[in-house]
Amino acid sequence: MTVLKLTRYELKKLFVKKSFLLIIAFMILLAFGAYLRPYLTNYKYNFSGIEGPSDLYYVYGGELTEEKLNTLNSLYNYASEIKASGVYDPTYNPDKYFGGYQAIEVYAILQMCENAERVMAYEDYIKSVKEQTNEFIAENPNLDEYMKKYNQMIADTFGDRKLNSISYYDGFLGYDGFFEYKFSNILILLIVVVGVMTIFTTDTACGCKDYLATALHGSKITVTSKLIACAVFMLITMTVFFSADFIYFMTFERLDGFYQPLYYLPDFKDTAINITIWQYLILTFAIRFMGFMTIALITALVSHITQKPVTSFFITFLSFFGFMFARYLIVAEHLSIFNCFNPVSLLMCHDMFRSFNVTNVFGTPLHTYIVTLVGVGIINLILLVLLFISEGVIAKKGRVKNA
Amino acid sequence: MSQLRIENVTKFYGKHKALDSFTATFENGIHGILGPNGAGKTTLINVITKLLGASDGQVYFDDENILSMGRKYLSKIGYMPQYPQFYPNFTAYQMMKYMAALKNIKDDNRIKELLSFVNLSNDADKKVGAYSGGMRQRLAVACAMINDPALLIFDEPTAGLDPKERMRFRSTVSEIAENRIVLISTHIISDIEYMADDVVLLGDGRLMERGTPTELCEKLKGKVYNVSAKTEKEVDEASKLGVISSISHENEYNIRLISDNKMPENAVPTSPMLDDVFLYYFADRKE
Repeated sequence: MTVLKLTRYELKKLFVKKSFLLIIAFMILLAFGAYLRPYLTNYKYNFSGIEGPSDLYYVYGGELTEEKLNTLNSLYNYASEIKASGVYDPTYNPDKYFGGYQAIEVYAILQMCENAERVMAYEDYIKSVKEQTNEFIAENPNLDEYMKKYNQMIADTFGDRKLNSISYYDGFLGYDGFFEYKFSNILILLIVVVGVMTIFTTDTACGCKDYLATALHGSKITVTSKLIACAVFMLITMTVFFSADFIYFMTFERLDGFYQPLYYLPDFKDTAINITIWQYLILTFAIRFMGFMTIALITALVSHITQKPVTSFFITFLSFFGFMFARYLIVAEHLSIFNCFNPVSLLMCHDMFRSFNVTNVFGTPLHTYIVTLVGVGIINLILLVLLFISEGVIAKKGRVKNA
Repeated sequence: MSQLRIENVTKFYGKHKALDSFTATFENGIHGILGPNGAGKTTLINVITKLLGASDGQVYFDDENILSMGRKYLSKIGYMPQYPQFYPNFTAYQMMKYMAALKNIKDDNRIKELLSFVNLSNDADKKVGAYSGGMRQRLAVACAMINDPALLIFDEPTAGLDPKERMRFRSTVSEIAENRIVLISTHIISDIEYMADDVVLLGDGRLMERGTPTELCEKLKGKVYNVSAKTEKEVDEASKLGVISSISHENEYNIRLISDNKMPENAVPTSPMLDDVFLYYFADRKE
């Protein structure tokens, strides 16, 4: 209870002040600026370009029954014919055509049929993967343990995967854009670092550190409450930006099919996890939170040791760039384990889930996302321990450097 | 009855010895630690409050070493730093609640009582950033008192205060001093004169002298004189005899002089005051 009480005050100390709220407001404006870029640049953004195709799915989407397939077949024939002729009705007629224009409707129908085809073919695709795996095992009786386990993992993970319904996906906007959108990550990173870099220096700056140093709960319990405040702040920041991104993409690029398994999305057809798209959104939110926590803990640790917020700002960003470079430079498979300790791997987590990524851990194949979560979790734990050790050392030596 | 015992505490900053085998025992009552700037007062306070570790020596509270007491010791002390500061976006009430949480005090009534005691009830919901120096100081007293400490420490508590606030502080301390040890570190003599039952003179990190204000003045009996001088040359001559405590000039120069030496016939012995005691011990020391 004391920790929670103190956490409230830590949040107030650090984040409920005009200067910081102005920074947040500015960042949110930047985010909206990014959203509005299509409107501010010189091309016309036609809503009907999205609405039409996605509306098609409200009528013809969902479970692919026999009847639905027949309907889609007819639509496909109609659209193919128009496309082959190259002659489109130029008039704008939203009552007649999905999207208002025949060209948009034809494109949307062909896209939808392509999705349906992909869905129908997925089961066969999975069967062929399993067959190839089993053949490989049968043809190589002297496979080492690692390869045996790896191939068994494929068989177990893919299991009885199948798809039986379609939802809006156009292969360019929507989820692909949503998962590739990284601007908010940069804004969250800036806000978190700017917020956290004063977490251990604000008491000194306000002339209040002696109160903490001479209070019963002014040491490790205060450190705990500061870290919880930091996590709460990050959660709020991530939620604000994630929600804003989600609302934008939902509204302007139509995210659909949250109930679909993740492997419905073509980029994720070989994913190692069997969860729905909405579960994946929550999972990746939690994973990115873990990655941002590493950055926040580095900032907090440097801030605690140096008592200089600007130093912690620079060191954090140097570390972040170091992590970024390492992430992209380390490509050799035998070195990939190092990427499992890299928080940037979690911040760009979609790459981990796009294919069946596995990491060799002492001869055992484990899903890369699990190894990375554990690896970065270990880093976070080390940072936490270092923070408390640093606090213990300072408390023992005394906090005053000079009288 | 609580007891704070300081045994041979020494503190070095590099080669500079800020405290030199300081030894003293304090029991319930108001104790003044008087010394010039750089005497080691704040260093001593920092060692007592565990803000600083001593290079040598021990500090005991109720016969227990404060280092082995761990954080339990901090629950027994209340500390008011020099020029108290607060988080500017907190109100006084929020600051008190925060301090209560830090000191594990769960009774909200205590906060209201203390704010009323220091006359801040009507301003409790104002942001501390808007407080005057006197209001901050009163809030600092309330914060220091929140855990009803057995050992209360004030570091230069009246620095920067106007006479009215200074008087208010003196009467506040006199009211709260019952049944606890109160240490007031200061170089303002009038504060000590009005408040302290016992005075420790600290110079160059060493305990120079100790006693009640009356006892200290008594030790200087026969060493404080009023001397008249007609010219500046005579004033110069007089300054060679001892330490000049004060000079006033109406028709002639009236010099208050402190000296161990034999004085001229026109020197009239006078009753020593605590200012004289301060100058007697510290006038030749560097500031």
